[in-house]
Amino acid sequence: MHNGWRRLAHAFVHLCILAFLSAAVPVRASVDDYLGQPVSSVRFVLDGRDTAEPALVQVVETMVGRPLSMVEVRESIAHLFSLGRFEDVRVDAVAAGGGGVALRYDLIPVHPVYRIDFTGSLRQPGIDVGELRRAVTDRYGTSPSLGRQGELAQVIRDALRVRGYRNSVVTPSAEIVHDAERAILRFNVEPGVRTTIGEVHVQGTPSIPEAELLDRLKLTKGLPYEPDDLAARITRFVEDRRKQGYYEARVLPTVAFDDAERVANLTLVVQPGPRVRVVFTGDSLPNDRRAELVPIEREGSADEDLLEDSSNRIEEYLHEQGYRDAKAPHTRQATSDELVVTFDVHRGALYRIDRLEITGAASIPLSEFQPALRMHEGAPYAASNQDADRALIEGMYRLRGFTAVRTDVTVDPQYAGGGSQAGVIIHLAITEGPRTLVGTVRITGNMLVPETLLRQTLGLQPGLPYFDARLRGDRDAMQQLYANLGYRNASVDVDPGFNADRTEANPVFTIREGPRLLVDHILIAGNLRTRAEIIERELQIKSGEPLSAGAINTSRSRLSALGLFRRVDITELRHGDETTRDLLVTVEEAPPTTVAYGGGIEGRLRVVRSAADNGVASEKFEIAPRASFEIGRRNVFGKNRSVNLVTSLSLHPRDSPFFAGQANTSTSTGSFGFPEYRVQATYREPHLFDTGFDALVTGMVEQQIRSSFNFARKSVTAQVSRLVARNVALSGSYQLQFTKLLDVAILETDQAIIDQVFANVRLSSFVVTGSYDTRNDQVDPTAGGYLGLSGQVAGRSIGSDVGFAKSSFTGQIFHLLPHARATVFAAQARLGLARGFPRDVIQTDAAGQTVLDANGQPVADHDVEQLPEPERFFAGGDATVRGFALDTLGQTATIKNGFPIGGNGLVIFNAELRVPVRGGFQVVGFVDTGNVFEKAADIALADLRTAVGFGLRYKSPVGPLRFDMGFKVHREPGEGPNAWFVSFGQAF
Amino acid sequence: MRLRKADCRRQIGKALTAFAALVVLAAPAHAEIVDRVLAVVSGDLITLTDVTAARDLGLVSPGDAADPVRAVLAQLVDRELQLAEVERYAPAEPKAEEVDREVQVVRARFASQQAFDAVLARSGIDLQHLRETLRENLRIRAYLDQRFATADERRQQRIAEWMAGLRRRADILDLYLAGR
Repeated sequence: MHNGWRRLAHAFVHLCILAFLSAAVPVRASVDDYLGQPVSSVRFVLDGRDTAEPALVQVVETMVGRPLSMVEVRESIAHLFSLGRFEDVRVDAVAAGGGGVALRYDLIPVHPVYRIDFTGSLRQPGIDVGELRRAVTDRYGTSPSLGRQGELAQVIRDALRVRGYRNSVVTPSAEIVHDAERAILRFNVEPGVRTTIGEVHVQGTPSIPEAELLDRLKLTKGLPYEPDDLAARITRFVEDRRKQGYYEARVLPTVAFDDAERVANLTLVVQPGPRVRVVFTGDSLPNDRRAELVPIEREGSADEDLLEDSSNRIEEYLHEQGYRDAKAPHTRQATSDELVVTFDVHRGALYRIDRLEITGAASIPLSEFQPALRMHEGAPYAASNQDADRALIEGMYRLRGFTAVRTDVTVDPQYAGGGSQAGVIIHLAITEGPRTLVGTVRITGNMLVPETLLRQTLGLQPGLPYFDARLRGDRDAMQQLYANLGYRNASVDVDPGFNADRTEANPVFTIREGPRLLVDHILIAGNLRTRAEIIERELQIKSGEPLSAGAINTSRSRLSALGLFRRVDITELRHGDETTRDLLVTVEEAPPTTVAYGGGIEGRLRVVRSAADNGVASEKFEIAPRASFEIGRRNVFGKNRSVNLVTSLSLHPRDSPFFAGQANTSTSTGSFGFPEYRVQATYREPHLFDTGFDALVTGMVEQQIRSSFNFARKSVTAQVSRLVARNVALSGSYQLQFTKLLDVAILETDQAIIDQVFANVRLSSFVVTGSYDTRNDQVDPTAGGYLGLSGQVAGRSIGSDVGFAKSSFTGQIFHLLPHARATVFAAQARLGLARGFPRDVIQTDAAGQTVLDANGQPVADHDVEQLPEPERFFAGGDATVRGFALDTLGQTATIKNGFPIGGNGLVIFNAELRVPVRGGFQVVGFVDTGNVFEKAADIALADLRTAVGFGLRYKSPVGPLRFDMGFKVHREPGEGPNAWFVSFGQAF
Repeated sequence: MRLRKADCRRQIGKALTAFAALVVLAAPAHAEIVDRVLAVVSGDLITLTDVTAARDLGLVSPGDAADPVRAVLAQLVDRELQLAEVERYAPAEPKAEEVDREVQVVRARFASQQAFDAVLARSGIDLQHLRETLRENLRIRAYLDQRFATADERRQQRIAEWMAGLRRRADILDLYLAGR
């Protein structure tokens, strides 16, 4: 029995030992044991939890069933890390059954810091938590990496040191919020003892009493020692002294700490320097150039070197003005408390060029370069002009192959007996030298890029003149070509290969191609809402293609142009094979919803029927407040689709002649309404059906004020457009609109029959537009141009009540005038042509009933070719011919009893000079001319009416605010002399 | 047949021992970290295998540092910083023969081709990768010779000052230092 139990106990002991050994000695393996073993499984553990997220699986190279390769492990780590989501990636391997190896990717997510907290002794004097927070966020942003805790703590320690806490203890810690994968970064601050100012010793002789000096520098025993503040006060003090003429004033502090840095004992070495007075005697110098020529105050010094330089600077300045013999020696005179520096300026005679002789120019006619020379007879002589002209001449010769050209200048002064004027004769002797032509061009060292491709970059061609700059340009172009083909490190050396007499150059381009870099993977990160395919579509570079610098730049620009992202970065990731790079496309998405609103005032002159004067047309000016509101949602469904709603309205008093139902003046009722409004909803689908076309569907409800009528309109438009070249856009659209005439001020007898019959008109039309736009700014351009063409056809066969064809042309140019301080010349031409398709119109009476003839048959007008009134052209107003009230420009046939009815032909020309003045203001002078014609065939330039005027612009943050006043050049009976307008934006 | 008590106990003891042996044999193997990120220098990764490759191929020597990984990593971080400068100024491309010579020098450190290949495989790099690494080293050397042409004792001091500046300005995330 005992023996049996003993054996049992023995076995138990064996068991315990084995169990202990099994726990204490894990089965370890090295990387070598796993290499080549088939991968049996790949796990992803994200912050301790298993995940099978496709975005992670896709970028990993280690596939189940394939032999384990460390190359693939490295690649996978690089890809995962590049996603920007993880702050650490580890790969564990463990032997699996059957000789395989199980891989585990341990992913530690980046925990964006969403809050930075401070704890500890924060109530100590001088400690401002906001200041500490700013110190961190100014340098590392509002969401610093947790991996930088040590650096952040140092930043805080430095900030505390500035406040006098020289031995603070700052302990960082992070609290991870797992459900949202975010973190709170916490700094426990123990500032320690604050260093105070101890003894202060002043060495030297301050120019003010010592007590005052210490008071101004706030150096009082016991106050906290704040080095940055002290340095700032010293700087202010020194600057103040310099303003008073003590240009060499210095205050140099040194500090010695005592009592374990509790006390800072300061020594101030004060050098007051003399009061420096600069005096100019002799000939005068412009006041605004003196400080620049003699920079004593700026440099804080009046040492001899600086004074010598100042004398030279004055002399050079005068030489440039033509005073060839100018001298400006200086003297220093020191008294007990003042240093007087005197510059004795002697301009001497003003030398003008009496004669300019040029010899040796056999190959280039003088007429080709002489007009461009700065030196000419009668001009002041200046050495800088002489150098510039020499460079110009030699440059022109070199361009023609004269590589050894030399120009020698001889200056022959013609003294005029000590007078204030003298002359010089300039002789330019040109030695042309041999002309070098290109013989052969050789390219060597290109192993992988064909020579034919490289030769396409060459400007130097056999038989053409040799030119150094062109040779360098060819070298750069070749290098750029290599860069775009992925040869980032290619080098191109070039030897001009002159022959002995330099009549021939045989350039040799020697290339070292280096390795070609290819794109391995393209990783996209940061797109939370935007689908990856939208980003990929804009990338001009694909996996496996050469790493082209140009393609990367273009891709970046295209992604930015989408308007979906606040920030777009494309970075190259070096990993594994040095000949491949991953491209990491990181985007920071912009908010999906945009809201914009605005307000302002618009003022305009309009024709109204005067109730007090038997309904005669008269002009009335009214100012109306305007407001707009816009809300948009971009990147709908992550596919860059967008929807927008834009509304605008203007507020008028109900008795306003601009108000619907108030087509004449009447007494005030005192209330307000919105006679003018627009509500427009748009839906935009870029790359419709994966084509290059963008689609836009617009629905609009609006009511607008015109001069002799108002109208209400509802419309739906479907448009496709395409940017066919960089600045060229084409579009086509279908439009269905319903327009109702309101408040018609025109007498019925003057009204077109088409408007009487179709007061409510349905138009169904197709519109085609094309534009070429090189303006540098759509709102306020200063350079470039715009050409726009549009054609519209409405037909009864497609559901329109009225058929017509209408086209318009707009051309604009904007040009910054040279030497005119940002003055812009702007000009515009507009041409409008329209024709109605003939149709029969049944007459109706005022009640809308059909008018019958004596036989009881409807009365019809035949072959009516009129367009509905809102579709006709009008002119006059703030955007056409200023000087005429809204729509009031026209001829007898287009203005009936003072009320415009529009026409089928329009011509407008505008020209403006926009001159900037101060503080965002701009003054404008303009000339406008144009007219409206009943028919397109009636257009005659002799009938154009002209207005001139001026305006004022204010460049507000939302665009230019505009006031314009125009004056008619020739008034006709009954017309007012002028018109003025208040509105937004430039006139064109 | 009836077993004696002692035999029965002996059998139980043997069974327990066998069970314990099975437990030992079935104990899971310990997972080995085969690679991880050690540092990120301006967006470029330095992994554990980069460190082992540099050390095992003799490209970088840890010397007698107490922490050889730390020592090699520090040198690789500096190399990345230098490489970024080299990319900016693009010194002359080394000739293919020069790179070949460097490869042969590395190969000569190993007793056999098999040993050399084993180190490459373990480090996760292939011969092409090694060539490129050595090529970059030559470019760094050319850059340093061009920029710090002086051969006197001031050269090392100037390079050290330059490196200190690069380190100050660089964006370095040192995960090995962080101990994670």
